Amino acid sequence: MSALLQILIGAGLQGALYALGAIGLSLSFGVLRIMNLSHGDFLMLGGLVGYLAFVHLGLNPFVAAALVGGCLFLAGIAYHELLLTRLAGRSPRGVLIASVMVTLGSALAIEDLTAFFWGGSSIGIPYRLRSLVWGDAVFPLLRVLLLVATLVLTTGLYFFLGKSFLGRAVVASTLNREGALVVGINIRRIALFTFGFGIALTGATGVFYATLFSIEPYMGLGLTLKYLAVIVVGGIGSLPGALVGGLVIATAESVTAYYLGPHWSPMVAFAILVAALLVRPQGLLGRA
Amino acid sequence: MLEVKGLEALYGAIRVLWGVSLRIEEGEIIALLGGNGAGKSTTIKSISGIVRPAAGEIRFLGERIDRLPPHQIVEAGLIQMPEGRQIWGDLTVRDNLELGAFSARARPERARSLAWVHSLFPVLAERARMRAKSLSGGQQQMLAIARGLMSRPRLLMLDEPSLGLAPQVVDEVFETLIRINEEGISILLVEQNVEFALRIADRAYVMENGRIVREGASDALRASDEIRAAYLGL
Repeated sequence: MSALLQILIGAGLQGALYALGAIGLSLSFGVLRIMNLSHGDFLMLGGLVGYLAFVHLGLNPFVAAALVGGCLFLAGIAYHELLLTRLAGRSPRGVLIASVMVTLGSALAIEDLTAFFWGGSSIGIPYRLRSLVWGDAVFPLLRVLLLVATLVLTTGLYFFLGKSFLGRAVVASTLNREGALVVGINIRRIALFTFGFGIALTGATGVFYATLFSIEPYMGLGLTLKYLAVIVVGGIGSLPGALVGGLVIATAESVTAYYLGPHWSPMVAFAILVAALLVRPQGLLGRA
Repeated sequence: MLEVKGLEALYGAIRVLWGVSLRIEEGEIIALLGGNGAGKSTTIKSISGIVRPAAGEIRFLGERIDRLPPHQIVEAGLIQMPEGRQIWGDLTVRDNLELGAFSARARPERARSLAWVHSLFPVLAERARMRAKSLSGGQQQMLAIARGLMSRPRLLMLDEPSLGLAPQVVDEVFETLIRINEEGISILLVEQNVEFALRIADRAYVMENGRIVREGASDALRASDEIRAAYLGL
Protein backbone atom coordinates (compact mmCIF):
# COMPACT_ATOMS: atom_id res chain seq x y z
CA MET A 1 0.00 0.00 0.00
CA SER A 2 2.66 2.45 0.95
CA ALA A 3 4.59 1.50 -2.17
CA LEU A 4 1.65 2.59 -4.29
CA LEU A 5 1.33 5.77 -2.25
CA GLN A 6 4.97 6.59 -2.80
CA ILE A 7 4.55 5.91 -6.50
CA LEU A 8 1.61 8.28 -6.67
CA ILE A 9 3.42 11.01 -4.79
CA GLY A 10 6.42 10.55 -7.01
CA ALA A 11 4.13 10.75 -10.01
CA GLY A 12 2.64 13.91 -8.56
CA LEU A 13 6.04 15.57 -8.51
CA GLN A 14 6.93 14.24 -11.93
CA GLY A 15 3.58 15.39 -13.32
CA ALA A 16 4.04 18.86 -11.87
CA LEU A 17 7.49 19.03 -13.46
CA TYR A 18 6.08 17.93 -16.78
CA ALA A 19 3.41 20.60 -16.49
CA LEU A 20 5.91 23.34 -15.64
CA GLY A 21 8.05 22.41 -18.60
CA ALA A 22 5.11 22.05 -20.97
CA ILE A 23 3.36 25.32 -20.14
CA GLY A 24 5.81 27.36 -22.19
CA LEU A 25 5.19 25.18 -25.22
CA SER A 26 1.43 25.55 -24.82
CA LEU A 27 1.61 29.32 -24.39
CA SER A 28 3.88 29.91 -27.35
CA PHE A 29 1.61 27.87 -29.56
CA GLY A 30 -1.49 29.51 -28.19
CA VAL A 31 -0.32 33.10 -28.50
CA LEU A 32 2.06 32.93 -31.45
CA ARG A 33 1.06 29.78 -33.31
CA ILE A 34 4.71 28.74 -33.02
CA MET A 35 5.42 25.06 -32.41
CA ASN A 36 8.79 25.27 -30.71
CA LEU A 37 10.46 21.87 -31.09
CA SER A 38 13.61 23.19 -29.43
CA HIS A 39 11.66 23.74 -26.21
CA GLY A 40 13.12 20.71 -24.42
CA ASP A 41 16.63 21.83 -25.33
CA PHE A 42 16.14 24.96 -23.28
CA LEU A 43 15.37 22.73 -20.35
CA MET A 44 18.68 21.01 -20.96
CA LEU A 45 20.49 24.35 -21.26
CA GLY A 46 18.81 25.61 -18.11
CA GLY A 47 19.97 22.53 -16.24
CA LEU A 48 23.47 23.03 -17.59
CA VAL A 49 23.66 26.65 -16.46
CA GLY A 50 22.21 25.63 -13.10
CA TYR A 51 24.90 23.02 -12.75
CA LEU A 52 27.60 25.55 -13.56
CA ALA A 53 26.09 28.00 -11.07
CA PHE A 54 26.17 25.30 -8.41
CA VAL A 55 29.73 24.24 -9.11
CA HIS A 56 31.32 27.63 -9.68
CA LEU A 57 29.14 29.95 -7.63
CA GLY A 58 27.90 27.58 -4.97
CA LEU A 59 24.27 28.52 -5.57
CA ASN A 60 21.63 26.08 -4.34
CA PRO A 61 19.15 24.88 -6.97
CA PHE A 62 16.33 27.18 -5.88
CA VAL A 63 18.40 30.33 -6.24
CA ALA A 64 19.99 28.97 -9.39
CA ALA A 65 16.53 28.32 -10.87
CA ALA A 66 15.59 31.96 -10.36
CA LEU A 67 18.86 33.07 -11.96
CA VAL A 68 18.43 30.68 -14.86
CA GLY A 69 14.85 31.87 -15.27
CA GLY A 70 16.04 35.45 -15.65
CA CYS A 71 18.82 34.57 -18.11
CA LEU A 72 16.69 32.32 -20.24
CA PHE A 73 13.91 34.92 -20.39
CA LEU A 74 16.33 37.21 -22.18
CA ALA A 75 17.76 34.33 -24.20
CA GLY A 76 14.23 33.34 -25.27
CA ILE A 77 13.48 36.84 -26.49
CA ALA A 78 16.79 36.99 -28.36
CA TYR A 79 16.09 33.57 -29.87
CA HIS A 80 12.69 34.73 -31.07
CA GLU A 81 14.06 37.96 -32.52
CA LEU A 82 16.83 36.11 -34.30
CA LEU A 83 14.92 33.25 -35.83
CA LEU A 84 11.19 33.56 -35.43
CA THR A 85 10.15 37.19 -35.86
CA ARG A 86 10.23 37.08 -39.62
CA LEU A 87 7.58 34.38 -39.61
CA ALA A 88 4.99 36.81 -38.27
CA GLY A 89 3.52 37.86 -41.61
CA ARG A 90 2.47 34.40 -42.73
CA SER A 91 -0.84 32.60 -42.42
CA PRO A 92 -1.33 30.57 -39.20
CA ARG A 93 -0.65 27.38 -41.06
CA GLY A 94 2.43 28.88 -42.67
CA VAL A 95 3.74 30.01 -39.30
CA LEU A 96 3.20 26.56 -37.84
CA ILE A 97 5.05 24.72 -40.60
CA ALA A 98 7.89 27.22 -40.78
CA SER A 99 8.33 27.28 -37.01
CA VAL A 100 8.49 23.49 -36.88
CA MET A 101 11.28 23.46 -39.42
CA VAL A 102 13.26 26.32 -37.93
CA THR A 103 13.03 25.09 -34.36
CA LEU A 104 13.77 21.48 -35.29
CA GLY A 105 16.92 22.65 -36.99
CA SER A 106 17.99 24.75 -34.06
CA ALA A 107 17.19 21.89 -31.66
CA LEU A 108 19.62 19.65 -33.51
CA ALA A 109 22.19 22.43 -33.63
CA ILE A 110 21.88 23.16 -29.91
CA GLU A 111 22.22 19.50 -29.02
CA ASP A 112 25.25 18.91 -31.21
CA LEU A 113 27.01 22.09 -30.14
CA THR A 114 26.42 21.30 -26.49
CA ALA A 115 27.73 17.77 -26.93
CA PHE A 116 30.72 19.11 -28.81
CA PHE A 117 31.76 21.61 -26.16
CA TRP A 118 30.61 19.72 -23.12
CA GLY A 119 31.14 16.11 -24.01
CA GLY A 120 28.30 13.63 -24.28
CA SER A 121 28.17 12.61 -20.65
CA SER A 122 25.28 13.33 -18.35
CA ILE A 123 25.65 15.58 -15.34
CA GLY A 124 23.65 16.17 -12.23
CA ILE A 125 23.62 18.67 -9.43
CA PRO A 126 24.74 16.80 -6.30
CA TYR A 127 22.56 18.71 -3.86
CA ARG A 128 21.12 16.67 -1.05
CA LEU A 129 18.89 17.46 1.87
CA ARG A 130 17.75 15.13 4.62
CA SER A 131 14.73 12.85 4.31
CA LEU A 132 11.45 13.02 6.18
CA VAL A 133 10.13 9.77 7.59
CA TRP A 134 6.43 9.27 8.21
CA GLY A 135 5.33 5.78 9.23
CA ASP A 136 7.08 3.55 6.75
CA ALA A 137 7.09 6.13 3.94
CA VAL A 138 10.25 8.09 3.22
CA PHE A 139 10.07 11.56 1.67
CA PRO A 140 13.27 13.26 0.60
CA LEU A 141 12.96 16.87 1.75
CA LEU A 142 14.40 18.05 -1.53
CA ARG A 143 11.61 16.47 -3.51
CA VAL A 144 9.01 17.88 -1.22
CA LEU A 145 10.46 21.39 -1.56
CA LEU A 146 10.63 21.07 -5.32
CA LEU A 147 7.03 19.92 -5.41
CA VAL A 148 6.02 22.92 -3.33
CA ALA A 149 8.05 25.26 -5.56
CA THR A 150 6.44 23.79 -8.65
CA LEU A 151 2.95 24.14 -7.24
CA VAL A 152 3.64 27.71 -6.15
CA LEU A 153 4.86 28.60 -9.65
CA THR A 154 1.89 26.99 -11.37
CA THR A 155 -0.62 28.56 -8.99
CA GLY A 156 1.08 31.93 -9.33
CA LEU A 157 0.91 31.66 -13.09
CA TYR A 158 -2.73 30.66 -12.94
CA PHE A 159 -3.63 33.72 -10.90
CA PHE A 160 -1.50 35.97 -13.06
CA LEU A 161 -3.26 34.86 -16.21
CA GLY A 162 -6.68 34.93 -14.63
CA LYS A 163 -6.61 38.04 -12.49
CA SER A 164 -4.03 40.52 -13.65
CA PHE A 165 -4.78 42.87 -16.52
CA LEU A 166 -1.67 41.88 -18.44
CA GLY A 167 -2.37 38.21 -17.84
CA ARG A 168 -5.87 38.52 -19.21
CA ALA A 169 -4.47 40.34 -22.23
CA VAL A 170 -2.22 37.34 -22.87
CA VAL A 171 -5.17 34.95 -22.61
CA ALA A 172 -7.29 37.21 -24.84
CA SER A 173 -4.56 37.25 -27.47
CA THR A 174 -4.67 33.45 -27.48
CA LEU A 175 -8.42 33.29 -27.80
CA ASN A 176 -8.99 35.86 -30.51
CA ARG A 177 -6.15 37.66 -32.14
CA GLU A 178 -8.23 40.17 -34.09
CA GLY A 179 -10.17 41.06 -30.95
CA ALA A 180 -6.89 41.75 -29.20
CA LEU A 181 -5.73 43.99 -32.05
CA VAL A 182 -8.86 46.14 -32.06
CA VAL A 183 -8.63 46.97 -28.35
CA GLY A 184 -5.07 48.14 -28.75
CA ILE A 185 -3.14 45.22 -27.30
CA ASN A 186 0.41 45.30 -28.63
CA ILE A 187 0.40 41.71 -29.81
CA ARG A 188 4.02 41.76 -30.81
CA ARG A 189 5.18 42.76 -27.36
CA ILE A 190 2.84 40.34 -25.62
CA ALA A 191 3.98 37.55 -27.91
CA LEU A 192 7.63 38.25 -27.18
CA PHE A 193 7.01 38.40 -23.44
CA THR A 194 5.03 35.16 -23.49
CA PHE A 195 7.65 33.34 -25.52
CA GLY A 196 10.51 34.51 -23.30
CA PHE A 197 8.52 33.59 -20.23
CA GLY A 198 7.83 30.09 -21.52
CA ILE A 199 11.53 29.54 -22.17
CA ALA A 200 12.40 30.92 -18.72
CA LEU A 201 9.97 28.55 -17.04
CA THR A 202 11.37 25.58 -18.88
CA GLY A 203 14.93 26.58 -18.04
CA ALA A 204 14.06 26.78 -14.36
CA THR A 205 12.47 23.33 -14.62
CA GLY A 206 15.76 22.17 -16.09
CA VAL A 207 17.56 23.11 -12.89
CA PHE A 208 15.10 20.97 -10.94
CA TYR A 209 15.68 18.16 -13.43
CA ALA A 210 19.43 18.39 -12.98
CA THR A 211 18.96 18.13 -9.22
CA LEU A 212 16.49 15.27 -9.18
CA PHE A 213 17.67 13.30 -12.16
CA SER A 214 20.39 14.22 -14.66
CA ILE A 215 20.94 16.28 -17.79
CA GLU A 216 22.52 15.09 -21.01
CA PRO A 217 22.89 16.94 -24.31
CA TYR A 218 20.54 14.84 -26.40
CA MET A 219 17.57 14.74 -24.06
CA GLY A 220 15.81 17.75 -25.59
CA LEU A 221 13.84 16.38 -28.50
CA GLY A 222 12.48 13.36 -26.65
CA LEU A 223 11.36 15.65 -23.86
CA THR A 224 9.69 18.05 -26.29
CA LEU A 225 7.69 15.21 -27.78
CA LYS A 226 6.61 14.17 -24.31
CA TYR A 227 5.52 17.75 -23.59
CA LEU A 228 3.52 17.66 -26.78
CA ALA A 229 1.71 14.63 -25.39
CA VAL A 230 1.11 16.51 -22.12
CA ILE A 231 -0.47 19.54 -23.75
CA VAL A 232 -2.52 17.55 -26.24
CA VAL A 233 -3.95 15.42 -23.43
CA GLY A 234 -4.65 18.43 -21.26
CA GLY A 235 -5.78 20.75 -24.02
CA ILE A 236 -3.61 23.26 -25.86
CA GLY A 237 -3.75 26.74 -24.38
CA SER A 238 -5.16 25.58 -21.07
CA LEU A 239 -2.99 26.06 -18.02
CA PRO A 240 -4.91 23.70 -15.72
CA GLY A 241 -4.91 21.36 -18.70
CA ALA A 242 -1.10 21.24 -18.69
CA LEU A 243 -1.23 20.25 -15.02
CA VAL A 244 -3.84 17.58 -15.65
CA GLY A 245 -1.98 16.28 -18.69
CA GLY A 246 1.26 16.16 -16.77
CA LEU A 247 -0.31 14.22 -13.92
CA VAL A 248 -2.05 11.78 -16.23
CA ILE A 249 1.10 10.95 -18.13
CA ALA A 250 3.36 10.85 -15.08
CA THR A 251 0.98 8.57 -13.21
CA ALA A 252 0.60 6.27 -16.22
CA GLU A 253 4.37 6.10 -16.59
CA SER A 254 4.96 5.33 -12.91
CA VAL A 255 2.26 2.70 -12.69
CA THR A 256 3.49 1.06 -15.91
CA ALA A 257 7.07 1.05 -14.65
CA TYR A 258 6.00 -0.55 -11.38
CA TYR A 259 3.78 -3.26 -12.79
CA LEU A 260 5.31 -3.93 -16.20
CA GLY A 261 8.90 -2.84 -15.81
CA PRO A 262 10.79 0.43 -16.34
CA HIS A 263 11.62 -0.21 -19.98
CA TRP A 264 7.94 0.15 -20.88
CA SER A 265 7.39 3.62 -19.47
CA PRO A 266 8.91 5.76 -22.28
CA MET A 267 6.31 4.36 -24.63
CA VAL A 268 3.41 5.26 -22.37
CA ALA A 269 3.39 8.97 -23.19
CA PHE A 270 3.11 8.29 -26.89
CA ALA A 271 0.46 5.62 -26.47
CA ILE A 272 -1.59 8.15 -24.53
CA LEU A 273 -0.92 10.83 -27.16
CA VAL A 274 -2.22 8.58 -29.93
CA ALA A 275 -5.24 7.59 -27.86
CA ALA A 276 -5.98 11.26 -27.08
CA LEU A 277 -5.79 12.25 -30.74
CA LEU A 278 -8.15 9.46 -31.65
CA VAL A 279 -10.66 9.90 -28.87
CA ARG A 280 -10.58 13.57 -27.80
CA PRO A 281 -8.18 15.72 -29.82
CA GLN A 282 -9.07 18.97 -28.08
CA GLY A 283 -7.79 17.53 -24.81
CA LEU A 284 -9.50 17.10 -21.46
CA LEU A 285 -9.77 20.80 -20.69
CA GLY A 286 -9.21 22.36 -24.07
CA ARG A 287 -11.68 24.29 -26.18
CA ALA A 288 -13.28 22.35 -29.02
CA MET B 1 -10.99 64.31 -39.08
CA LEU B 2 -10.21 61.25 -41.17
CA GLU B 3 -8.78 61.61 -44.64
CA VAL B 4 -8.07 58.66 -46.90
CA LYS B 5 -6.34 59.33 -50.23
CA GLY B 6 -5.59 56.82 -52.94
CA LEU B 7 -5.71 53.77 -50.68
CA GLU B 8 -4.53 50.56 -52.30
CA ALA B 9 -4.37 47.14 -50.74
CA LEU B 10 -3.33 43.64 -51.76
CA TYR B 11 -4.18 40.18 -50.57
CA GLY B 12 -1.06 38.34 -51.61
CA ALA B 13 -0.67 39.21 -55.27
CA ILE B 14 -4.28 40.23 -55.83
CA ARG B 15 -5.14 43.92 -55.75
CA VAL B 16 -8.37 44.48 -53.81
CA LEU B 17 -8.46 48.24 -53.36
CA TRP B 18 -7.85 50.60 -56.22
CA GLY B 19 -7.23 54.16 -55.14
CA VAL B 20 -9.99 54.55 -52.52
CA SER B 21 -10.45 58.07 -51.21
CA LEU B 22 -12.89 59.29 -48.60
CA ARG B 23 -13.12 61.77 -45.78
CA ILE B 24 -15.00 62.14 -42.55
CA GLU B 25 -15.61 65.44 -40.79
CA GLU B 26 -15.88 65.61 -37.04
CA GLY B 27 -19.34 64.72 -35.75
CA GLU B 28 -20.54 63.05 -38.93
CA ILE B 29 -22.05 59.63 -39.45
CA ILE B 30 -20.74 58.25 -42.73
CA ALA B 31 -21.91 55.05 -44.39
CA LEU B 32 -19.74 52.84 -46.57
CA LEU B 33 -22.01 50.73 -48.73
CA GLY B 34 -21.61 48.04 -51.34
CA GLY B 35 -22.21 44.39 -52.02
CA ASN B 36 -20.20 41.41 -50.87
CA GLY B 37 -16.58 41.57 -51.89
CA ALA B 38 -16.73 45.25 -52.78
CA GLY B 39 -13.79 45.99 -50.50
CA LYS B 40 -15.57 47.68 -47.60
CA SER B 41 -14.03 45.53 -44.88
CA THR B 42 -10.60 45.76 -46.45
CA THR B 43 -10.89 49.54 -46.44
CA ILE B 44 -11.77 49.57 -42.74
CA LYS B 45 -9.00 47.13 -41.88
CA SER B 46 -6.49 49.21 -43.82
CA ILE B 47 -7.50 52.27 -41.85
CA SER B 48 -7.22 50.47 -38.50
CA GLY B 49 -3.84 49.01 -39.43
CA ILE B 50 -4.79 45.36 -39.39
CA VAL B 51 -4.13 45.23 -43.11
CA ARG B 52 -1.06 47.04 -44.37
CA PRO B 53 -1.83 49.43 -47.22
CA ALA B 54 0.22 48.98 -50.37
CA ALA B 55 -0.10 52.65 -51.30
CA GLY B 56 -1.98 55.78 -50.31
CA GLU B 57 -2.19 58.17 -47.41
CA ILE B 58 -4.38 58.03 -44.37
CA ARG B 59 -4.56 60.98 -42.01
CA PHE B 60 -6.37 61.01 -38.68
CA LEU B 61 -6.65 64.31 -36.83
CA GLY B 62 -3.94 65.64 -39.11
CA GLU B 63 -1.40 62.90 -38.40
CA ARG B 64 -0.42 60.19 -40.89
CA ILE B 65 -1.41 56.76 -39.62
CA ASP B 66 -1.07 54.55 -42.68
CA ARG B 67 2.15 52.85 -41.60
CA LEU B 68 1.44 52.57 -37.90
CA PRO B 69 0.79 49.28 -36.07
CA PRO B 70 -2.82 48.72 -34.94
CA HIS B 71 -2.23 49.42 -31.25
CA GLN B 72 -0.91 52.91 -31.96
CA ILE B 73 -3.93 53.71 -34.10
CA VAL B 74 -6.14 52.64 -31.19
CA GLU B 75 -4.16 55.00 -28.94
CA ALA B 76 -5.02 57.86 -31.28
CA GLY B 77 -8.73 57.19 -30.73
CA LEU B 78 -9.57 55.44 -34.00
CA ILE B 79 -11.48 52.36 -32.94
CA GLN B 80 -12.82 49.50 -35.04
CA MET B 81 -15.65 47.15 -34.24
CA PRO B 82 -14.66 44.29 -36.53
CA GLU B 83 -16.82 42.13 -38.76
CA GLY B 84 -18.17 39.17 -36.85
CA ARG B 85 -17.61 41.00 -33.55
CA GLN B 86 -14.50 39.02 -32.51
CA ILE B 87 -15.36 39.08 -28.83
CA TRP B 88 -13.87 36.62 -26.35
CA GLY B 89 -16.60 34.04 -25.85
CA ASP B 90 -14.84 32.19 -23.03
CA LEU B 91 -14.24 35.32 -20.98
CA THR B 92 -16.94 37.05 -18.94
CA VAL B 93 -18.87 40.04 -20.25
CA ARG B 94 -17.09 42.21 -17.72
CA ASP B 95 -13.65 40.96 -18.78
CA ASN B 96 -14.50 41.68 -22.41
CA LEU B 97 -15.45 45.23 -21.50
CA GLU B 98 -12.49 45.86 -19.23
CA LEU B 99 -10.07 44.66 -21.88
CA GLY B 100 -11.66 47.19 -24.19
CA ALA B 101 -10.02 49.86 -22.05
CA PHE B 102 -6.56 48.35 -22.53
CA SER B 103 -4.94 51.30 -24.28
CA ALA B 104 -3.00 53.83 -22.24
CA ARG B 105 -5.48 56.55 -23.18
CA ALA B 106 -8.56 54.58 -22.17
CA ARG B 107 -7.27 52.82 -19.08
CA PRO B 108 -7.53 55.70 -16.58
CA GLU B 109 -11.15 56.23 -17.65
CA ARG B 110 -12.08 52.59 -17.28
CA ALA B 111 -14.56 52.92 -14.42
CA ARG B 112 -16.29 55.91 -15.97
CA SER B 113 -16.47 54.19 -19.38
CA LEU B 114 -17.92 51.07 -17.77
CA ALA B 115 -20.67 53.10 -16.10
CA TRP B 116 -21.43 54.78 -19.40
CA VAL B 117 -21.74 51.58 -21.45
CA HIS B 118 -23.85 50.05 -18.68
CA SER B 119 -26.26 52.97 -19.03
CA LEU B 120 -26.40 52.48 -22.79
CA PHE B 121 -26.71 48.70 -22.58
CA PRO B 122 -28.22 47.67 -19.23
CA VAL B 123 -28.23 44.00 -20.24
CA LEU B 124 -24.42 44.01 -20.09
CA ALA B 125 -24.54 45.10 -16.47
CA GLU B 126 -27.02 42.36 -15.62
CA ARG B 127 -24.91 39.67 -17.24
CA ALA B 128 -21.52 41.00 -16.21
CA ARG B 129 -20.29 37.72 -14.76
CA MET B 130 -21.61 35.43 -17.47
CA ARG B 131 -19.49 34.05 -20.28
CA ALA B 132 -19.83 36.18 -23.37
CA LYS B 133 -20.69 33.23 -25.56
CA SER B 134 -23.87 32.65 -23.56
CA LEU B 135 -25.33 35.94 -24.79
CA SER B 136 -27.77 36.09 -27.70
CA GLY B 137 -26.62 37.37 -31.08
CA GLY B 138 -28.04 40.82 -30.47
CA GLN B 139 -26.51 41.03 -27.00
CA GLN B 140 -23.12 39.98 -28.35
CA GLN B 141 -23.40 42.79 -30.86
CA MET B 142 -24.10 45.22 -28.03
CA LEU B 143 -21.07 43.82 -26.24
CA ALA B 144 -18.87 44.33 -29.28
CA ILE B 145 -20.01 47.94 -29.64
CA ALA B 146 -19.65 48.55 -25.90
CA ARG B 147 -16.13 47.14 -25.98
CA GLY B 148 -15.32 49.59 -28.75
CA LEU B 149 -16.72 52.43 -26.64
CA MET B 150 -14.51 51.37 -23.71
CA SER B 151 -11.54 52.34 -25.88
CA ARG B 152 -12.74 55.97 -25.77
CA PRO B 153 -13.11 56.45 -29.52
CA ARG B 154 -13.04 59.78 -31.26
CA LEU B 155 -14.02 57.94 -34.42
CA LEU B 156 -15.74 54.56 -34.26
CA MET B 157 -15.73 52.33 -37.34
CA LEU B 158 -18.35 49.57 -37.31
CA ASP B 159 -18.12 46.68 -39.76
CA GLU B 160 -21.57 45.24 -40.45
CA PRO B 161 -23.14 45.72 -37.00
CA SER B 162 -26.57 44.58 -38.19
CA LEU B 163 -25.40 41.26 -39.63
CA GLY B 164 -27.49 38.33 -38.50
CA LEU B 165 -29.71 40.37 -36.20
CA ALA B 166 -33.51 40.43 -35.98
CA PRO B 167 -35.08 43.64 -37.32
CA GLN B 168 -36.09 45.14 -33.97
CA VAL B 169 -32.61 44.45 -32.60
CA VAL B 170 -31.19 46.26 -35.61
CA ASP B 171 -33.44 49.19 -34.68
CA GLU B 172 -31.98 49.24 -31.16
CA VAL B 173 -28.44 49.11 -32.48
CA PHE B 174 -29.01 52.02 -34.79
CA GLU B 175 -30.75 54.02 -32.04
CA THR B 176 -27.66 53.50 -29.92
CA LEU B 177 -25.38 54.66 -32.71
CA ILE B 178 -27.33 57.90 -32.96
CA ARG B 179 -27.01 58.40 -29.20
CA ILE B 180 -23.29 57.75 -29.36
CA ASN B 181 -22.93 60.24 -32.16
CA GLU B 182 -24.79 62.83 -30.12
CA GLU B 183 -22.13 62.43 -27.43
CA GLY B 184 -19.55 63.61 -29.95
CA ILE B 185 -18.24 60.37 -31.45
CA SER B 186 -17.94 60.33 -35.22
CA ILE B 187 -19.04 57.13 -36.90
CA LEU B 188 -18.03 55.25 -40.04
CA LEU B 189 -20.58 52.56 -40.72
CA VAL B 190 -19.98 49.69 -43.11
CA GLU B 191 -23.31 48.12 -43.91
CA GLN B 192 -25.12 45.85 -46.28
CA ASN B 193 -28.41 47.03 -44.78
CA VAL B 194 -28.58 50.04 -47.08
CA GLU B 195 -32.03 51.14 -45.98
CA PHE B 196 -31.05 51.67 -42.37
CA ALA B 197 -27.58 52.93 -43.04
CA LEU B 198 -28.88 55.74 -45.23
CA ARG B 199 -31.48 56.63 -42.61
CA ILE B 200 -28.91 57.47 -39.95
CA ALA B 201 -25.94 58.55 -42.05
CA ASP B 202 -25.23 62.13 -43.14
CA ARG B 203 -23.28 61.07 -46.21
CA ALA B 204 -22.45 57.79 -47.89
CA TYR B 205 -19.89 56.26 -50.20
CA VAL B 206 -20.74 53.32 -52.42
CA MET B 207 -18.06 50.80 -53.32
CA GLU B 208 -17.85 48.27 -56.11
CA ASN B 209 -14.92 46.03 -57.02
CA GLY B 210 -12.48 47.87 -54.82
CA ARG B 211 -13.40 51.36 -55.98
CA ILE B 212 -15.68 54.15 -54.83
CA VAL B 213 -18.36 54.54 -57.49
CA ARG B 214 -20.80 56.99 -55.87
CA GLU B 215 -20.77 59.41 -53.03
CA GLY B 216 -23.17 61.98 -51.71
CA ALA B 217 -25.62 63.06 -49.05
CA SER B 218 -27.81 60.18 -47.95
CA ASP B 219 -31.02 61.92 -48.91
CA ALA B 220 -29.78 62.30 -52.46
CA LEU B 221 -28.68 58.67 -52.64
CA ARG B 222 -31.92 57.37 -51.24
CA ALA B 223 -33.81 59.28 -53.86
CA SER B 224 -31.56 58.16 -56.71
CA ASP B 225 -33.12 55.57 -58.98
CA GLU B 226 -29.79 53.92 -59.64
CA ILE B 227 -29.15 53.16 -56.00
CA ARG B 228 -32.68 52.07 -55.39
CA ALA B 229 -32.48 49.61 -58.24
CA ALA B 230 -29.06 48.25 -57.38
CA TYR B 231 -29.37 47.93 -53.63
CA LEU B 232 -32.97 48.23 -52.57
CA GLY B 233 -34.34 46.00 -55.27
CA LEU B 234 -36.93 48.56 -56.35
